[in-house]
Amino acid sequence: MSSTTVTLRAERTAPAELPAPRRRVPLPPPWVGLLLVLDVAVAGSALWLCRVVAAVLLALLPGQLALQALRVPATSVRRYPVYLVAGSVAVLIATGLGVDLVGPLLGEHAPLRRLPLGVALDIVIVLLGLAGRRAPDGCRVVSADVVARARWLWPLLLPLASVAAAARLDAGRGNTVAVAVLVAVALLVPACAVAAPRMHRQHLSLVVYGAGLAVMLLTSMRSAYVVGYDISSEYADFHRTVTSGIWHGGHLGPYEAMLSLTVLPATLHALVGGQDVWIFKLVYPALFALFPVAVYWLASWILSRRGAFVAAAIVLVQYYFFQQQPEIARQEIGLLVFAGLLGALLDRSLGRRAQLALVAALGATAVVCHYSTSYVAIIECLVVAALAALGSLSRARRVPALPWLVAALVTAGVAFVWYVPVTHSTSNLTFVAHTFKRNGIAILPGRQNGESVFSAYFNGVRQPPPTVASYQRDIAALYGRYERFIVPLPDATEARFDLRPAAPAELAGRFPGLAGGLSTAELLIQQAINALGALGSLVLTLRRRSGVVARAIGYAGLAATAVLAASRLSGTVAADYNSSRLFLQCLLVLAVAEVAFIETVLARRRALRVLRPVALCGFALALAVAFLGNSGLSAPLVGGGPPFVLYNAGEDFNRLDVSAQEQASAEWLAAAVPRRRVVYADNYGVLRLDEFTGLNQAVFTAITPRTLDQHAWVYATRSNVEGHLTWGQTSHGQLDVAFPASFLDDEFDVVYSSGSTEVFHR
Amino acid sequence: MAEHGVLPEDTLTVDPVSGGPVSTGGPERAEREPRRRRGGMALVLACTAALLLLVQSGVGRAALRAAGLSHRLPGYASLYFPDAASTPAKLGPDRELDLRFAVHSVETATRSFTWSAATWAGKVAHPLAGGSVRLAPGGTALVTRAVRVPCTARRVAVHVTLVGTSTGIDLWLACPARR
Repeated sequence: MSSTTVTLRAERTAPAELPAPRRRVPLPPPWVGLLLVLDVAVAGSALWLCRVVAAVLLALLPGQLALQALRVPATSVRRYPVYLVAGSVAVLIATGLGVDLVGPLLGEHAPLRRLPLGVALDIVIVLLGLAGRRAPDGCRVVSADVVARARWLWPLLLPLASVAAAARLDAGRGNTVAVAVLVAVALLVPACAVAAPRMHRQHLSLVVYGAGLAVMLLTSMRSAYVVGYDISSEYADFHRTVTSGIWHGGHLGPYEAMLSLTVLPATLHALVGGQDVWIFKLVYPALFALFPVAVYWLASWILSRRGAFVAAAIVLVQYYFFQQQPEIARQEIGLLVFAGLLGALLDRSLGRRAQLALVAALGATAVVCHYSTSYVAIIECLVVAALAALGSLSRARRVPALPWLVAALVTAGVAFVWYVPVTHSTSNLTFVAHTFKRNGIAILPGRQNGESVFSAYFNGVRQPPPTVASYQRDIAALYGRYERFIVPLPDATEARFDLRPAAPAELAGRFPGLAGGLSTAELLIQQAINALGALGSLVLTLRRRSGVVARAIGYAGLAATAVLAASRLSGTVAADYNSSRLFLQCLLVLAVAEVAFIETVLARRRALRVLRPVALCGFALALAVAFLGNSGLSAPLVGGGPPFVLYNAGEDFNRLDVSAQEQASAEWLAAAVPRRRVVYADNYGVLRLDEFTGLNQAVFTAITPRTLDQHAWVYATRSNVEGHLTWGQTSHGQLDVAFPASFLDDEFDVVYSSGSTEVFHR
Repeated sequence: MAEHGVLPEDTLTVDPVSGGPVSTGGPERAEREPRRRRGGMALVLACTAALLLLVQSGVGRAALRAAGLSHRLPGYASLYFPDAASTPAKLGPDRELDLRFAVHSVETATRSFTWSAATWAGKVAHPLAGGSVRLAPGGTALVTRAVRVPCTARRVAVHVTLVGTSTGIDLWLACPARR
């Protein structure tokens, strides 16, 4: 120690003639280097490596700097990494919108291109970096806050395997890899539930992310086109924004007004490069796969590591998470931002100012991403604020109402400004108002005579399915009444041309006897999930020992339960918003409440505590069983419709898989038809026409002999021509109908043919 | 500069069980641990980068094709009437038809397409004309041929098909009234 003292003294008494010690040149902050890497990656986007680097940096860097500028502590980001990506989405949307609005003023009439966007993003990132330069060291996020060890990255091999599986299936090379991915995910759920206490939280969250993304990519990466109903029209709007290089406000349809379908993907496409379709097929699922991760991190605030993993697994195994959501791009981004918003509302580690700023920013971002997600968020925030105000009257720990109130007010205010004066895109709201005016609330419209309220509630708003004959009659009457300019052919009413039901495509299955048991198990598990969510929310709300976060989750769970019950009870609400999509949004808190219920009940007595791991692992095993059915993995075993993720056949394949011939024939038709014409295409043909040609005016969907105009142009897809299948749209769902080929062949010319698609005209 | 045998303070940490200080293995290990982690992460990133560069190379693409991960969409050809909005609806008294149609190739290489035109009476085909066209990928050929159509019924359909494929277009024609 003495030598140390001597050295120090020597430095302090250094003679003046000695050279002064060199002043260290301060190193630039790390974000400057990352910005340079991002610029290089954007410039070199012809390389896949550069695209991957650009995509990863775009998802993290803007959010990191925005959070630093808002003085969000790094510990908060470590506890909830969703902030990073949700923040990046907010910054990218704001940047893209700014460029879109300012560009034309500076003479750039297609501003949503690489150069203007790249320059603007550089400016924004530098400004955010400068705004955060005086932030305390505790606000500096480092890479180890997200992933600390390389060996925890192995779950990311699963999405890679999914991409390979989809490619092999498309190439007709079988479904072995796809089956392997599904089996791996099914095994991971119970296995990680068992091993969770010995795994690091980051490691578990990477398992959730990898598994979630893997199952989503099995759907989204099929085909060279986007896969899904909504996403086809969404892609048409996105593609138009990309080709025009600008987005305009004004009187817009709801899709055109959502920046998650226009400005954001166009910005990502301009900066990442490649074909625009990959933004929806790969980048959006990669962002949305953070949704179950959000559940995991939220749950980890109040639950054990195992409990948090099981809560995330509840979301992971739902088909509407991994199969439906990749087909709805706007909601993928909307729910991601909502997850960020909910985290900010529940997070006690944020300072009050940082919390309110984050809540306001993410609430506003949610509005421009997805309408319905915002409406539900507003309702939930208002209910929680009211419950928090009520709760403050009791002696229980108080949940602050202010952040929830701010979130509701900001979201509602921005929604009003965005939907009314900026985009005039209130058609969905006016539709809801019109439906309420016409039908009222329509409590349990499916309730039969003498049926109890409970039975009707659990059966939902179901209606008896119509028959093909009744569809043929009703649709002809409808066209006769409202589409009077349509003149069908006289022969159309001949009995030989009557519509027939389509033959169902079913797999035989090796153990068909198990089908009933598996279906019952799935139903029971699903009902258990529903019931536990409501019970868990109630327990978290009323339990005296609940902490502030647990109680707030209880309030949010009660609000979500109320919204779900409304959609179950009211036929009008159910008709206006798909209940499974609503359920997914509500699961963000309900999944946490469900597992909280199990943990709370089993923690009450010492004797029961030993059962807690068994109960949670058993629940995880039940979730894996549910996943077997939901993913379609059970189909080769017990039979049923061939799932799209495993076969080049079946209902979803016929509906959603687009071929190059369908694109070519749609483009030919759009070029061939005169201005005054009547075009017919079934529900899925219409999607192809809209996606590839923008042909969506005066296009009718009822391809039936009695509704076809005698001078019609009929666009027949691969399913129509090769599968001999079309669909009849009724108010109670879709009917599988045999394509009326004999009528068309007898009465119309085939004016275009690609072998698997045709265009009829006469 | 620390004295031998005395652990510097930064290598001491609190044992979560006993609450007392524990050694994490000296300063070398304390530095080595994050360095090893960074090394592991750098290795993963470098391997990923190398893999991405490799798969975009000619060798990588060939490997992807061999593994069934990349495939060319199968080629096809389309047939259509160029004036589809105004195709003839009836035959004249001489039953002559100026048959006009186009063949468009979406194959990956230049190839020939054989076409045939016929009418059907029940299950018996009555050939009207035939020929072949040679097309480069993306190429289109317009075929014009005058044919005499036999009237075996009140109206007849002229079918044009590409031989060996399911690609075919039809034209219904009303026959002239018999005198």
